[in-house]
Amino acid sequence: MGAIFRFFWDALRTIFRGGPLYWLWLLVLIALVAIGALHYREQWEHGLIVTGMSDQVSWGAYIANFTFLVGVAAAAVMLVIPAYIFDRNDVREVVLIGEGVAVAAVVMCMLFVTVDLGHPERFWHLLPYIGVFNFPQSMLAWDVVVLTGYLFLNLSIPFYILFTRYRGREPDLRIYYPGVLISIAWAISIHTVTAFLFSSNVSRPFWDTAVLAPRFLASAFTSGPALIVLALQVIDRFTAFKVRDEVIAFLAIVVTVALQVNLFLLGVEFFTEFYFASEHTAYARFLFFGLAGHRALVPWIWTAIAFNLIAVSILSVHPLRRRRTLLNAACALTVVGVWVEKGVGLIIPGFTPTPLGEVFDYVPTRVEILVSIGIWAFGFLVFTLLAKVAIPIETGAVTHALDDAERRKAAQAGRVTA
Amino acid sequence: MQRMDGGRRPLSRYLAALPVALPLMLAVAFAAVPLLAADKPPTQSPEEAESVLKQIMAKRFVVRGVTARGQTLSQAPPFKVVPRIPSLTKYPCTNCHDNSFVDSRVRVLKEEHTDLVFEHGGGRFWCYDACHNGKDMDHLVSLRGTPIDYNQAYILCGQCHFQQAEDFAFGGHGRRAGAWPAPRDVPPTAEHLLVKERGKIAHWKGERVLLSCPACHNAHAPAIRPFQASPVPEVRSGLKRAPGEPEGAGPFSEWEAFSGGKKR
Amino acid sequence: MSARNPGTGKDEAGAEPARGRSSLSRRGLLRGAGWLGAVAALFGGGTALARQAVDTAAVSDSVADLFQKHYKKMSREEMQEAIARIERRAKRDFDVAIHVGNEPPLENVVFGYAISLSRCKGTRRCVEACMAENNTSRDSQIQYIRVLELDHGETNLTNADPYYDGENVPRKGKWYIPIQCQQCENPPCVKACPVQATWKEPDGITVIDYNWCIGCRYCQAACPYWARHFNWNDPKLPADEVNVDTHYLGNRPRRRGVMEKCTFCIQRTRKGRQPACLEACPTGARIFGNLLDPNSDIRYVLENKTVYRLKEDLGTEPKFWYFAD
Repeated sequence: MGAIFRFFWDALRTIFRGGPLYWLWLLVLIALVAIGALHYREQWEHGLIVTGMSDQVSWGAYIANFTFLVGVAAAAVMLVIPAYIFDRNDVREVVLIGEGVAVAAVVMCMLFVTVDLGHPERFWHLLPYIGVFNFPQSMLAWDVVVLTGYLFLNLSIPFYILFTRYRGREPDLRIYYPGVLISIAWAISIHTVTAFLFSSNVSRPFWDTAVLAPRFLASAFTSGPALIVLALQVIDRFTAFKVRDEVIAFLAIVVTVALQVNLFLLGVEFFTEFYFASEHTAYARFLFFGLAGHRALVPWIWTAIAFNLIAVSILSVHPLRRRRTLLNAACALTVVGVWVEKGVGLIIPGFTPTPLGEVFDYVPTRVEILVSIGIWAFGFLVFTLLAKVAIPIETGAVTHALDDAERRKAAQAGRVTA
Repeated sequence: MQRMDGGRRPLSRYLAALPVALPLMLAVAFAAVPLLAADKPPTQSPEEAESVLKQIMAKRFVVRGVTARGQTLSQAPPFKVVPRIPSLTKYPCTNCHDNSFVDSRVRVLKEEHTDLVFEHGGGRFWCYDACHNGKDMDHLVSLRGTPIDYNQAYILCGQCHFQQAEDFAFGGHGRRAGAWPAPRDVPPTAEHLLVKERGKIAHWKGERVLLSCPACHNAHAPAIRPFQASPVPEVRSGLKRAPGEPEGAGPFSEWEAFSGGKKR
Repeated sequence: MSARNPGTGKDEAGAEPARGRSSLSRRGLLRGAGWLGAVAALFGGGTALARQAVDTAAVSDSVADLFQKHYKKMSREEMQEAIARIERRAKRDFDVAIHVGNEPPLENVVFGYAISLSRCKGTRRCVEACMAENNTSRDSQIQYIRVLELDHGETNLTNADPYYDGENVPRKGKWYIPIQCQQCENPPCVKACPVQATWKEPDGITVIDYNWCIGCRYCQAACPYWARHFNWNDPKLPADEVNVDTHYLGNRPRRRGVMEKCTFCIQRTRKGRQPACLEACPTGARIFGNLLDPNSDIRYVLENKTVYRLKEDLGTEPKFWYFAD
């Protein structure tokens, strides 16, 4: 057990050891988190009235970001599958980074849901037996289960891997391979369950479509790996961890294909909504063309679609995709485009018009925006710290392999040593 | 012409006329008897009328029952009606009216009841034709002439408005007595509502106490007047409604275009 | 730092990393102390602020509220204590002594409601009465009933107007339909709630335990009738407008961050009284009663009038009918 304590102590020391750029980055993030926290305090004091949400549009920026980030969290599976199912060792080297992204994303998801609650201190009501957990009826209960499980998987497996590497040994695949397999299925399920959260509502025809879950997965597998592509290049540039070009190229192909599928599914939705205009298409009309003079979302969604189209054009052409600058631009466009499409372009039209036909505009307030930025900054902070700890262990710079005295003691006790 | 017997008519001549005259006289006598007796038609007492009516109604073939379950009006769940007489300011009518003098001319009243607006029936009837009882002014009167108490005006109204009467008896029309006032008892404005009058609150369970028709409908002008509606709902505090534009045209716009009506 | 082979941990020169003796450098120590100090300062300032406004009874009530169990799991004593807390809080907030009842559902009773669309004239008296009866927030204007105005011949709710200004209602060429919680037999909101803070009682009313609701608003997304409303802030209620006859699951004062909705005036109807909206309707357009009683007003309407329900195709089985006669 002393080794575990030493692991965490060394991790802590690693966090505090960095150059000026690292500290500047941390400072910026912490400042944003502090601003977010201050504004959350305002929300805590006055209630959710400080947001722009209303009975008409009762979910807004918080749930929009939550939906996007669940997708990003699920995207780690796009590294896990090639690494462990298709035995691509080059991808296996970066799997931990992907899982770090997943952890940061899940933490952000949980924070976004927490700030959206009217009574976060009543979270214990969700616990089975102590509280009342409406599982399996409520899709939100399912979401709690899958997100918590996913967080656990993405903390425990990397911890095992890092800890064994820290001890100078190789992790035993027999121990964590079942966890890997579970996490692959689990990653798909977190985003499917989140899609079901929306599509299970017969009261919201805009969401009540079978194609919502496939759309969620497609947009997740394009925006998540796009973010990972960008993150890996940052890591390659600023740390000792070198990322192979083949890994970036592989992820770029994942982004490309997923984006193509995403745009195809968008086209499918478009046809179904607009071929024959029924009342059920009022929501899509509001989003894409405006309804009864309310046109607030129209520029957003068409910009997002334009971003996606530009991105897919770049990515689908091999020579263009292979140019780093163009690839990075395409990835950035993809992330922003999917964020708008899945956030603004999904949550708000679901509520507009209301079930009684009212068209009410939702505009996020300063508090909502700053709290959201704060949570995003916190997610970046989590990822930075996780990467800061993981990378030196992966590269072997930080390790605590057993010394001679301890080795003898372990041999006497019959334990396997490095 | 010259007579052969010297001027006297023989008796046989008169007797010869008898076979013609006698039947003629008898026929006239028989015809006259019923004509002379026509002043007195057969009469019937109200109790006799009721009992005969009951027998006939019991044997009738019901083409359309009152309710889907086949109940008739008499099988409606029991109810009580809030007396209306205490609200009648000019009751008893015999303070002024003499039951033997009835002026049933159609005219605008100039001496009394000058504030009365009569908007009921479209001119098909007047005061004493359908409702008011000239011979007993403290009661109303049914179409068959039986007196109806002012507290049971629903029986009177139900003669023509039988659908509403059936609904009223079974609970599909009208209001139960409660704290909130019936429209005729308060002016139609957005009154502050009486939460405090707990004792007068209406019940769905137990005894049915209903308000009679005139509590809501002015018998002389029964159509309910337009109200001032209660205030427009607000949106969540801190937000404002952004005005939009009306979505498209109304439901009849295409047809109105053909008929020359305005397209909205 | 030279790149190390992730597999062996050795760097290019073949050297292994220094075996770590955990030693704190002075710099690290100073930095750590600095962070700890900042955090402590924030925390201390926060608690100092909090200490300024503390009322011991209120605090102990809040703590007890925090650990209060679900309505269905509370014992009799716990229920009475919860009620006492609510009454005390009402005294603090409004300086009014309220009575919180907990009448159970009546035997052999399932409530049903019907509205005559011929007789509704859009006066909105029902809305006013409901607000007066149910202690809803006047500030955020929570209204359980929404009256929609539509053109004759129009049933498309997208073309309905809830904000009509009724100088004289009914306005020419319009018809009116009030919509409130339909008390579905198959309620989507009950299915959606992750903590079962809302459920259907045996007498058919869908109720909310306001002290259990976590305020996630998933039920609000699930409701097809826009019947559920959220307290975005602390309800503002003038003391002289408080209705003191309340029910725990009905119109007792709520706090911010929880859902609320029409409960068929559970504080009235479980005592045999008509709902407030029905009493206030000036045209007698509303009919209410026990669906299990064959002689009730509502059964007469359902059997003899052409009734329909809203959004019936969704399968929610509402216990709220509409008809025209």
